[in-house]
Amino acid sequence: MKLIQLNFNVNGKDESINIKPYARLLDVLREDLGLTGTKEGCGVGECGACTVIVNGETVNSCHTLAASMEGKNVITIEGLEGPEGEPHVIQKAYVEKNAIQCGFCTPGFVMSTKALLDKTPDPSREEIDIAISGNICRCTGYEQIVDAIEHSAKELKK
Amino acid sequence: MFTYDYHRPKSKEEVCELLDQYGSSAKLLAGGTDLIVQMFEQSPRLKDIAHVIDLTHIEELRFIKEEDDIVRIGATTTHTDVVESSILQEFAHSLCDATFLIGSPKIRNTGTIGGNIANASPAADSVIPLVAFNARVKILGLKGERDELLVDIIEKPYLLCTDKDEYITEIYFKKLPENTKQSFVKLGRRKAMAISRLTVGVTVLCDEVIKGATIVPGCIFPVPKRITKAEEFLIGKKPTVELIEEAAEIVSETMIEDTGRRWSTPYKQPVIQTLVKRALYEALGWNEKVKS
Repeated sequence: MKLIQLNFNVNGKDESINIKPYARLLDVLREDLGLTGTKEGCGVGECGACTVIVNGETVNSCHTLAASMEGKNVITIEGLEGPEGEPHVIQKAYVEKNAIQCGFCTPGFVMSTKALLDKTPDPSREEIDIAISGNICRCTGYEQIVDAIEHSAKELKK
Repeated sequence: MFTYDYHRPKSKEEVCELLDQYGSSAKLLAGGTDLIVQMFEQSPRLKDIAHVIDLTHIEELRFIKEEDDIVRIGATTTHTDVVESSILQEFAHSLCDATFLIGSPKIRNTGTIGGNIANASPAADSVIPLVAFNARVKILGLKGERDELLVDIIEKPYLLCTDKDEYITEIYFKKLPENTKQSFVKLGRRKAMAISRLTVGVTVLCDEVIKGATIVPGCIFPVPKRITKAEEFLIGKKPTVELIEEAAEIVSETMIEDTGRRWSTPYKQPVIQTLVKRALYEALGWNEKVKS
């Protein structure tokens, strides 16, 4: 088994790294690039804690083969940080609407929110429900999260 | 976690060469929503896999096309592509409906129609409407391309009848005859992320009497199939609640004839009947009042 070279863009930065051919995108982000904001929850694509955006669409990085990411653009939760290190509007909305408790699922929810609002700036409640249907939160519940997404949409339009 | 080598062929033909070279130690990656999880979890079925061949960078395998009366879908077309396709919404909306019920948006953005078929799970949602459309598949190998009915290439759960150098490149079907209606219903344990427990896909052509019908229950047989006995029973008859009831009974009797009585039969029998009725009602455009 030989390492393979992976060239891709992560959070606006071109990366060229040698990876194990069987590494998952989640492993490469966390272990090779030190981007530990993306979490591993279930590891089987059920919980959405590992959600990242690839070429504009959300994926579970736990069942995405890193080698397959050649030439792709990946955005992780770290990529949402503003130029001065300030949190993104969506992150602020999650704090403001008390949509966080333990916080483990939050990066995944925030990335699902970002992908939704990038494509659908004014989503209906149903569109929000669908967008986060692959994300599980076991402590906050979902009402505050949906409120935070609606609030994000309003704030982003300002 | 199993370890393996990774290959990224650039052409459809190169895939066959790699498959031929690595034989049963190779597995195709068409999205990975099943494969990567199973490899990570060290599924015994995949213990001998030493090579993963990535199909997702071959652009010519990802398309949805309408050619005269044929609709063609490339093997690595994602579930999201299927759900959002205006061609499929027009000619195969039950496939869009079934595909929309697969996993979550994240899974639909990655998983593919070819992967769903090749994984050959009895619970594969996209397969059911495709069988109801009498869909066919194109299979490419070193000796060239062959063309088979979709139902004929699934040998048993999780196994296709393909040679070691062969793989599915395209799924296609003839547009349904004008005025044919279609529907897909699913029973899962919850709304999102649910692997199907029971499903039914149907097509019905009906004016005064039923002129054509296909009925395909999912999850109850090892490999998907149409229930021709129930279909033939409907032909030439005026659709009534009683008629649909009888057709649904034929489906459940066929299930018991084929798979025997199991511990789950007392549950599955009335549920599959209800789902067949629901699917036929929906296709016939009958309202909620009739349903109850």
